[in-house]
Amino acid sequence: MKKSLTSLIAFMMLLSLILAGCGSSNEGASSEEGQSEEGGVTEITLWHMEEPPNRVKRFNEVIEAFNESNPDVQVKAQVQSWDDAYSKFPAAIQAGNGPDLLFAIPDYTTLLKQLDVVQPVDDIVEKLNEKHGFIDASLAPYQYEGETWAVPVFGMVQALWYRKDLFEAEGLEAPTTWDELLHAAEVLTKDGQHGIALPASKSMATDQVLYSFMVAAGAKDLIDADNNVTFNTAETVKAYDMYQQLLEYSPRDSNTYQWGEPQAQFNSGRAAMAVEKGQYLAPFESESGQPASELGVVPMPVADGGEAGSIYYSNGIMVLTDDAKKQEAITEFFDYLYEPENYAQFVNAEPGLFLPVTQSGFDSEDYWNDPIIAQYEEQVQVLLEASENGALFGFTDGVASNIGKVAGPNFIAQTLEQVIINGMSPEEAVEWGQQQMEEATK
Amino acid sequence: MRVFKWIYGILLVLLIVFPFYWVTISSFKVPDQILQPDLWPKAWTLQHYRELLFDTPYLLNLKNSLIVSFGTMIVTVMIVVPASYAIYRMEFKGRNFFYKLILATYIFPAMLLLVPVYQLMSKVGLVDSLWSLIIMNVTFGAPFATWLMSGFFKAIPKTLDESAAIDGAGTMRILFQIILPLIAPGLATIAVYAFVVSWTEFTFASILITSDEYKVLPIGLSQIMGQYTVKWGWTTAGAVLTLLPVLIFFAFAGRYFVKGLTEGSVK
Amino acid sequence: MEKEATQNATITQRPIERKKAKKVEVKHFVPYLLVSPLVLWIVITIFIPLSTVIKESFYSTGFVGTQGEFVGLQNYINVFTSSAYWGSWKNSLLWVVGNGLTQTVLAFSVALYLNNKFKLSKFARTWMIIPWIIPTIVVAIFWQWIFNGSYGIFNHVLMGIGLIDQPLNLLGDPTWALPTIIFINSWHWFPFLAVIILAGLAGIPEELYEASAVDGANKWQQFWGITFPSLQHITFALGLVGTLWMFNIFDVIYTLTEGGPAGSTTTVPVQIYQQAFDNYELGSASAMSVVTAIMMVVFAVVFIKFAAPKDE
Repeated sequence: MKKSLTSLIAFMMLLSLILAGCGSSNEGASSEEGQSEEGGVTEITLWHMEEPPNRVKRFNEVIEAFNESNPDVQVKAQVQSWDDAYSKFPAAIQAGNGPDLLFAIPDYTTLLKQLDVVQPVDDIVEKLNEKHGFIDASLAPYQYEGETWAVPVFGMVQALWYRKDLFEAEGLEAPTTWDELLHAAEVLTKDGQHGIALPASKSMATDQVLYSFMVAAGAKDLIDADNNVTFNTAETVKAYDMYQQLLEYSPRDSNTYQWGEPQAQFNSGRAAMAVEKGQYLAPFESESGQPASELGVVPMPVADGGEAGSIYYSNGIMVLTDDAKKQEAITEFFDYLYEPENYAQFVNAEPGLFLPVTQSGFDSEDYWNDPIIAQYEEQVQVLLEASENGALFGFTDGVASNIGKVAGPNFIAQTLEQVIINGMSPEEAVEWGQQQMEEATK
Repeated sequence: MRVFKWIYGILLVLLIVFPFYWVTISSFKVPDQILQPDLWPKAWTLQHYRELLFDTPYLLNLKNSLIVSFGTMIVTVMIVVPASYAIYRMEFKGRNFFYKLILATYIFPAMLLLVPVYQLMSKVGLVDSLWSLIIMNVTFGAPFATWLMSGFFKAIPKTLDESAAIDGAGTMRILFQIILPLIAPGLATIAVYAFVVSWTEFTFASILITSDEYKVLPIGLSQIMGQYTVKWGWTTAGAVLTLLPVLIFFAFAGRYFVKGLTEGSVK
Repeated sequence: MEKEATQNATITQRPIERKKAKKVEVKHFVPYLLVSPLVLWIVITIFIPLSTVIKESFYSTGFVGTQGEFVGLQNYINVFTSSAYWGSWKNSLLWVVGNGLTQTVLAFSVALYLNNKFKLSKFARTWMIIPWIIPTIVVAIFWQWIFNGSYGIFNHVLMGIGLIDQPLNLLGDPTWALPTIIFINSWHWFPFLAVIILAGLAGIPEELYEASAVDGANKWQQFWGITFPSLQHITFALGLVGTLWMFNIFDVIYTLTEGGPAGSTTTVPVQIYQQAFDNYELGSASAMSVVTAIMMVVFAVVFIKFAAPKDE
């Protein structure tokens, strides 16, 4: 009797608790609506998709410092996932729960623009440009239809990473042409070690690495400003052919690889080369047990008759609010962010991966004084040099407004799957890819 | 035959236990050894755990997960008990219809409701609130919990309610004073069930929550895994930290769950 | 009071005619009052969003959040002629059947094992369920780590005992990817199934076995003659709900392979997700959802009609 009574009482207590909770939560929700400008403080929410804890932490530090020096503005950074960028973000924006500032890459901007909330940022960019000097390649993919749609914040470029220790053991030099690359991959594949590690899954990682090969083969234009697909060319076929050959020297599970796996193979010494961006710097010493000087990097090797280059693109920040007061606050924030000392702090959240996009950023001592950047200065120079020959699909031949329709389903990677899984020849696969892309963008 | 039985038993135990062992042991390995398939670490380190606890919002995520799971548990019990009482102990027009309507929840792939549910929650101002997660978890936990209750009710003879009713007790009093104590094991069972459903939910947790202060553990874990690097040390340690709280919960509540099911329900 | 109740509870007496009881005792609105919270809850969170999906299926909406135009049945026509959509049904059927078989076999063997009393049986009954209580993402991490094609322990062991000389790329092989995820998902779910079956086994009176043992029936005959038929309520409910559950599983597949390699693990939910959020065709994804839901309803109706236990 006693026991059942206790449970009954507990039950009733919980009931009342819950009801009380329901009531208060409703109030909370309704009072939240008009809260943004309470007490003269303008609140700005910013969403970024740089999830690794070290990046989150550094971004927050910079933003915190801004908030302290500008008590009338509160920027609030919230980490999101790229996985949600195509479902949650648009739903949130449409429902009025979106952020004021949103990180982007060029093809994402073309998609999000359809929601009619992306604000032109020409004024902000112009002002920053005068003072800090944006590099053209970072700005161009955000400028079309007569406006600028995002403020470039950092650039990313791919290059060929190689293990100097493994190359020296075979008496090899860093490759500069595809023949040398293939030769090195072949020689370095032995005793459970692989010449190269390449991603081959249906993913953005594969899209990007493959695109670097396409650029080097001379096939960087795959869609033009009128959304005509020009994917099916001899140069593209050449790139796929090369990729297929190199996969022979890449680990057998390459077709499950995305961003991280090639790097893990590379650092553990099981793969001698990889094509990727600057995130290879920071963890190299601790994960490989090798000194920083053993991390080799050269620009993407060039195909016979191809051209020097690899994928390069800038990440940008879009402004999604048309509230004048908020826009003013955002301008203040950008002014602060691009001041070289703050900017250096910010881009070195992941040293080497995030490259400065302003001249003042390049020139500032603060950037070069970062411990990782200082340690890998040579390698960073190679990356900066590589970014001068960078290209991004959809933005090479004018801006293709439908590029999102090619990037979203990962058609570049899917074409590779046709070769390595469904046994098509590179010619057939590229033709298949052309059809798919035409279908999607029509 | 006996030997065969033993071998089979051991294989089953291995199947269940080995993944836990392997991931746990890996999470204590130093970074340059984690890729080595040693069954016992050559050197132990707490490095991954330290980094996770201090550099990531793990504790915050844990708190949110606990709030959501306990909240789901309480709400589920509160709405399932009356509903299942009505469905299993009372005769009324449309009873069968309601029963099927409740089970129909499982006909639709949850992910197709992502966007509309977001819009709905947004309209009532519950986006980015733990309440939205509790609401959706109850939706997906309650129907099966209702079914789980059937056995518990069937075990109680109908004459009980009837004699009480003749004594003049109202339906509510019958439910609370007579039936409820008898189905206590059932309450424990569906409470644990709701907790687990809530603890493991990922899809809605990722879409309905935007700010860091309301993120739950599975979301935190997927962010820790990151997009550019595969850090197996963090990943394995994060996995251990995510399952540890539910193991502790289960150490206390698990007995009642299994006992409740085996003794009371689904006859 | 309670004592009385338990005493009464032990008397197995068939309830008197239900209709009579209702007429005499229960006020008409009370049962509705009791079911209404749950029913309203589900209507609001499932059926209202669902109506949005149905509406969307008649519009040409592309990227989420944009406004499409009314296109009538165009999306449905596209769905019925979409080879990608119907191709994913093949994977879904394999997925459901594979999961059903694997989990049933594993769950029954564990349940029969634990139905005997032995030293640790109580302990084992509680703890064998742990694979079910951990989040899917942790399950995915577990097995990715074990099956990893380069440094997974699974390949290491197989190579160590000389079964294979090259690591198996289980999740990257179009033939093996689906069976591998079926195995992983079954590992996640079978303990739950086992507990339910265990519950059912506990309800079978010992006398039935004793009687059949007298008749000379062996274990195998007992299983099919007594155990299995006694569990028909459970097998029916799990056959129905379990099939729907398994069919609709999305997260474990998406976390492990995103439907690849080359579409070999693209089940219907994965296909719908990709159509909506990778191909930016929300309208036709909605039409796919509606068609899928209708097929599920048909399945449920047919299943109930033919497989329901006689007295349900």
